[in-house]
Amino acid sequence: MPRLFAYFLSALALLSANLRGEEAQFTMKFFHDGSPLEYAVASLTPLDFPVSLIPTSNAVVTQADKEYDPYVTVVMVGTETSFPNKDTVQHHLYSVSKAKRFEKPLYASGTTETVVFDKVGVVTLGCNIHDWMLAYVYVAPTPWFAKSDADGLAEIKGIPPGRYQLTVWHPRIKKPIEQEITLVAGPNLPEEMNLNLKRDRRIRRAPAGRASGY
Amino acid sequence: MKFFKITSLLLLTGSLVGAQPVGLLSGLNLRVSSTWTDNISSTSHLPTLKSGQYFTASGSLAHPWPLNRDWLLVLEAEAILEDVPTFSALNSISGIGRVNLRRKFGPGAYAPMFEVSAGATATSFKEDPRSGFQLEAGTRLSKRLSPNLQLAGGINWEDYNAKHRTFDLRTHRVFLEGVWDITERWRLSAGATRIWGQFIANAAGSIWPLAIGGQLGPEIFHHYNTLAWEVSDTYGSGWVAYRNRESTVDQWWMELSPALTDRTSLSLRYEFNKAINAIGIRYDSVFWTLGLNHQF
Repeated sequence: MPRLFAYFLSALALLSANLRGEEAQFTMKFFHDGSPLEYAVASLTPLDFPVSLIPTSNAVVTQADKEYDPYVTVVMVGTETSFPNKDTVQHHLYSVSKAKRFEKPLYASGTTETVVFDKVGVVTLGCNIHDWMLAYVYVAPTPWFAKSDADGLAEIKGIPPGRYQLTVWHPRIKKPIEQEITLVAGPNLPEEMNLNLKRDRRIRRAPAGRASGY
Repeated sequence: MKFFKITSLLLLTGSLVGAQPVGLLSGLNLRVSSTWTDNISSTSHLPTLKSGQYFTASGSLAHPWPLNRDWLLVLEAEAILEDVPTFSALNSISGIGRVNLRRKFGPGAYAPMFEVSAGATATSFKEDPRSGFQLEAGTRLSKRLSPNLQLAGGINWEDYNAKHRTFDLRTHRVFLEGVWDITERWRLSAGATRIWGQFIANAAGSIWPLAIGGQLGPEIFHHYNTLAWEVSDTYGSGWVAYRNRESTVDQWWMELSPALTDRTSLSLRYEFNKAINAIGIRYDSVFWTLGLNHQF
């Protein structure tokens, strides 16, 4: 009961801060071996108030040119994600990840299937016909997240000030990084983070040679 | 002329490689290669054997049709041009149609895959008696052990019916191969094949009469007089082509292939063929191939 009351007070404070237009901005810059790192995900889970987990938008992962695009998608838990097949061939979308195990076989050209990601975690997508096709859906327990761009920058806007658990993830990270941070209204000091990553072990797409001789 | 042919081939490939992968080009594989072999004439008599180089250009179009969750049907059409500048009688063009049925045991890249395939090839040589029609069938089992290591093995049967029976071939083979992606760019693959059956060999006009005349010993006399042969002049005036039977060929190969892009690779391949006919005479050969491969 006291905890519920605390949440209620926090929610009131948050509402009041939002009404006054006091929102926080948080920017992270990711590196790996001194170079800007793309596809790093930063998410902020509030520690002092509950968060509304009603998805307000959908996500799209396209199958085109026998690749998934984008390579990394971040969604809030419960988000419906569509997978249009823009190729001229069929695909066989699947995941065997704990966060979402599913299959979409006989996935015809020009059609779109949808999947609701209803459990927090990382979902690895593959195609059972084209082994090199690989993508990730990071299912976050919060609406405040961002993915780093080619310059390594990930910017989260519209965050209520307060204490958060910052979670950092990347497809090649050994273990997600978690730390507590406090955000104040307005722009917060940008945080730089160098990630220690595993080797990129994607399946090679480039063709091989052919036999000669007899 | 040779320079013109090679340049044209490279320009054609380059322009196609640079093209956008749209419509029909999707699923198209192109390959150009140059092979040098120390025994292009497949000759057992070392002083007379001929080495040589040949150029190959091929284009194949494959289309996969998933039949259900586990089975995939792949239809493939391929055209191959082969140019042998020094021995132009061997210049050829081939058209191939293949059907491949694949069963994957579970989802994912690591699931074992079993394949059954059948194909038909029509080949036209400049030296017309070699031209013919081949039927082939095979099975293959493959398994990816990690993102950068894959093993495969299989059996193939081939039956080639040429215009002249000297060039008919019936063989079957078993093979094992492994692919190791050392880094994101570099791939090393290797394999071994054992072939049983027939292969075409050639002898200089100065040697063949000795073989069938008995001057090279009774065993060679008795065996070579049972073989189908004809004067072909393929490697010079008076050269003879003949069909070895009840033979074995052991192939070992190794290929280093850097990926230039995610669609294009180079391949440098070394292959050693140890061919032994029914009475133990060897027709060894080494092949070095440099290829450029592109997949749309």
